[in-house]
Amino acid sequence: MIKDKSIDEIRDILKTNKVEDVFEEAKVMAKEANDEYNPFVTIMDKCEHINSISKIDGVPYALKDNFSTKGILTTGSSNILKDYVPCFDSTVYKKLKEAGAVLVGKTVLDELAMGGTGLTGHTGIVRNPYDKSRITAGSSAGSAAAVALGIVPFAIGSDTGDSVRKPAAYTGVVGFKPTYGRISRYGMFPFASSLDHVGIFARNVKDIATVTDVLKGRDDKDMVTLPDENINYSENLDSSLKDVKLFYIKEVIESTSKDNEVIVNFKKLVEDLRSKGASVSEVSFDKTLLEVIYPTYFIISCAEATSNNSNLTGFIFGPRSEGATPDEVMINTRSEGFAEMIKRRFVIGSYILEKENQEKLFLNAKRIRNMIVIKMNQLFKEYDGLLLPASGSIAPKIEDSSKPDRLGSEYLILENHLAIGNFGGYPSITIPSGFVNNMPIAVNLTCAQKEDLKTLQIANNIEKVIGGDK
Amino acid sequence: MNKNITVDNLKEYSKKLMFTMKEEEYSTLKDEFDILLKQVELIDKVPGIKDYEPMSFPFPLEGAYLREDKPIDSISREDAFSNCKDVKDECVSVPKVVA
Amino acid sequence: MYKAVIGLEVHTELNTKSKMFSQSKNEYTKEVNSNITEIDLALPGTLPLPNKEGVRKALKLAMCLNCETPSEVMFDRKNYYYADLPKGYQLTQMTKPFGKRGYLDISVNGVEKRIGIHQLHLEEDSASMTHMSTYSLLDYNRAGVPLIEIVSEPDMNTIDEVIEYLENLRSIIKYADISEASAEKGQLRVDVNISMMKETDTVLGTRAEIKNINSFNTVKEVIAYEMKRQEEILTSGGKVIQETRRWDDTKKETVSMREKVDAIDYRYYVDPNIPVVSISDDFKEDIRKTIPVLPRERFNKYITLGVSEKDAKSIVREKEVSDYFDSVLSFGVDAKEASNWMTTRLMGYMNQNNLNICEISLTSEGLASLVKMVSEGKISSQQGKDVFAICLDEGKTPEEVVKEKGMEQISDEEAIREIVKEAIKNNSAQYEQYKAGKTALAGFFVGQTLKMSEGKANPAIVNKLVNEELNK
Repeated sequence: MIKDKSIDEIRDILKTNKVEDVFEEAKVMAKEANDEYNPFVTIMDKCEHINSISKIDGVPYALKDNFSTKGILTTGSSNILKDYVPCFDSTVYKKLKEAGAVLVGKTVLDELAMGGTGLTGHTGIVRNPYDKSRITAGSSAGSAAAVALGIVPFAIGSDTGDSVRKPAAYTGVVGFKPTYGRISRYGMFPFASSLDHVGIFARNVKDIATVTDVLKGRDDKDMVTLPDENINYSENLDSSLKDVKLFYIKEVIESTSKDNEVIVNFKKLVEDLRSKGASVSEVSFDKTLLEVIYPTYFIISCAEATSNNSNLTGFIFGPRSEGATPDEVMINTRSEGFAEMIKRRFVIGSYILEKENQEKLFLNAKRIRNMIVIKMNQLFKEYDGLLLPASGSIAPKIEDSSKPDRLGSEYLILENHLAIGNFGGYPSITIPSGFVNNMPIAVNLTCAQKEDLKTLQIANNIEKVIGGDK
Repeated sequence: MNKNITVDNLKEYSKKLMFTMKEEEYSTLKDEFDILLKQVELIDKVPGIKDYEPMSFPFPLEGAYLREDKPIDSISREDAFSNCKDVKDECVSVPKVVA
Repeated sequence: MYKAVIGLEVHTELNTKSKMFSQSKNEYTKEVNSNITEIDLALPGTLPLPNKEGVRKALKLAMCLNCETPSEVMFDRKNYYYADLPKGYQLTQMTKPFGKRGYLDISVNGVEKRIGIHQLHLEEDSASMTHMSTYSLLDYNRAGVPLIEIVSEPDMNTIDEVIEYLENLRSIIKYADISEASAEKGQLRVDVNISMMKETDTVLGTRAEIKNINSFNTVKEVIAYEMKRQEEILTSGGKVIQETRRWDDTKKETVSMREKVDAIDYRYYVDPNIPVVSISDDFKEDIRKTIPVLPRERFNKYITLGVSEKDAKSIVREKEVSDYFDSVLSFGVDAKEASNWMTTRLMGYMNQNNLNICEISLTSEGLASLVKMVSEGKISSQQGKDVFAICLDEGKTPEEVVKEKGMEQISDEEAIREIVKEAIKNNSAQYEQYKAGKTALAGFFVGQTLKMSEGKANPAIVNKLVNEELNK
């Protein structure tokens, strides 16, 4: 009865059904789904519920397995933490608990959030609910799948380069990354601290707003959190598209064939939005800057990730390998615990931070970041939001996913522009916009820093337009 | 910056990071380095890059403030070491550290 | 002839109530792992929370050392792997340290010298380790405690200069209430960087670094040993290796540690979890106002008031003692006299009874009036000593004691003359001997007069009058 239902619909169901029963149904679905699609690392055995007057009281949800949950296994989908049980709660988990939401399970991610396919978690690959031979994208693969499969109405992920917004696109759900610091990262395993955001998956924009309302707010345990605003997003979504000024980037659209069905779909949506009173302009953005988004992201994130994972030694927590000296223990634990791909990232990250390389690699990448953010900020003075296809294609086949041409313009520009949202900490949301070959495709809307409500309002309207609300 | 990275270099780097990689992985890594360095060439080509400051935070956090000097209670040793594989005398035990 | 070129890195643990990046208690305790939170253990997902008081103290010390201070708070990661470093990096300062280009003036054998302070920065301490036979135990109580590191320029050339610098620095640290700076509690650690060069050389020699020295005496031993070791190498034509060494206290020698100092690249970069916090001029002004008059200034003041260098040095060693002395002076006593009382009597008493100045029952006002009473001749200096002892033991004021014991010194010449005459009258035999030529007997009569006056007669006046009466 709860499959594919939204938060409001489940709240309705809860009027005549017990929280425990709703949980049990979600649990059964989760177990079945795990055999075929593998979204979960851990499925909760018991229903843990605290009564609350919030809008999500009694509502089941899934949590990416890089959020600390006291007393519950939290692995980061990595062997190096395969038996780690935190002794404290992440702020996100704590807030959801206090709001009465019910945890169904911890979801699979790309190992330590460092990947974009959903194929590198230590408990196995996550398959796309629409087509098992395809990926979901990552790193928040399991959370996206859990919502797409209708097991839970919302799930929590994290987004460092596109890790919520791209899986959302490939699995046909809404994926939101709010402004940097809007939601506390305390207790969330860090990947690249200056790019990490907490993100939310749901079936519709309203539910995204509802969950964001619960999670947002200043947290004294995370210095970068924004001060409280005292605005309720979900109650203030109604707005008009009239006079909304959007833009899209010419070079992104033109980096692929105009016959690409994703582009066709996008252009149609643009027309529909215009007919509703919004203006959508084509704006040119320096192609040389667009082409370096991916290496900039890669360099900054690898460098930051390397030191963020230096605490994983096996001494205080995690599996510990044998060794005659502390160095040997560290080396053996880390060699056995990290997958080879992660190690390669760390070596690159460490190389980037070497004294003689920092200027040319690390600092230059940080300069590019600045250049892009300055340009975007200027554009946001003129426009309310940036609208683009979330990806240039449907979800790739599993066997093709590790072969993109990382030096090709199309890959660089079309598949990586979402990282702009992380560079500047901009609120950014992926909204499903249709199907191609029976696979979901989506658009992405990004707005100015701290304009989370505006983002959700416009997204809410776009969602209506896509849904045929003429 | 050394553009000719050898497998020996890569082994050195991993050693400094306290892990070893499988032999066959080093050549994959070398390929990844080559791609990265080519991508870096694109970065070098961006005009005017030196006129910009490196950005460490997405935007300045107005009103960022420092914490007051108020202590809180310690967590219990049970909690603290609940995941530790070798606890002796209420401490984390590791093989002897030689100075 | 070789001369030593020495630079010092001094680490001092701050006396804040909580740690630098977590809220655990910052308190010395013998119970292991009892002041810890998940942040100190670097559990995944924990984030640093910089302590405002730590920042204040660092800026305060930077100001005391005449440093330039930044307008923003910034911390960097120093990346390396070691058993006592839970995060695999230490939060420290590289980009914008709290102090730069400062100095500390010292004086050795009357010669003034300015020792440059290269940098002062704030960082966190690592866990402590106890080494057993086959394993080591990690205690995280110390992990995250705030440390200030003061890096000097290599401006020192002798052991005396080094000790003078360290003592002055420690004094300032305690005056400014930065740290208890207790060597036994490990709150002050010194790294010595030393090289040797010929007077005629223009380039510095290769230096060795000797780390983690806990006492000033050991610093002396280390430097003496290293000067000898390096000079021997150089005079025999060898080269000094740039390396890190440690002091072996049993063998009394420095020993090479295996790793080479310059091989470690710490890959410093700005910590992304700590946003930039502004330091306003008002914030700095508020800190500056809390800086007390520092030892050097007080020392100079006391010298100009006539206090000896040795006494002045003794008095300024502890701020509370100097504050007490300043208070004594405020009652209008002679500084030189007061300093004698302070150093020989008061501080001697404190040392003997292991008390500090706050535990003394004689107030500064009391000491001032006691000093005055003796210098004005109201009581004799011997009486003064007795009054002093009674005040300290019984907590009474000098006035009370003098009154109780009827100790008011007799200075009235006529009254004393009567006693002198009486003494002469009672000792006619000695009087005859004196008159016959035994002039040394004058002392006998002085003694007798004092005895008969129960020690109250002013000795100088007794002396004068005895001589007058005997020679009549």
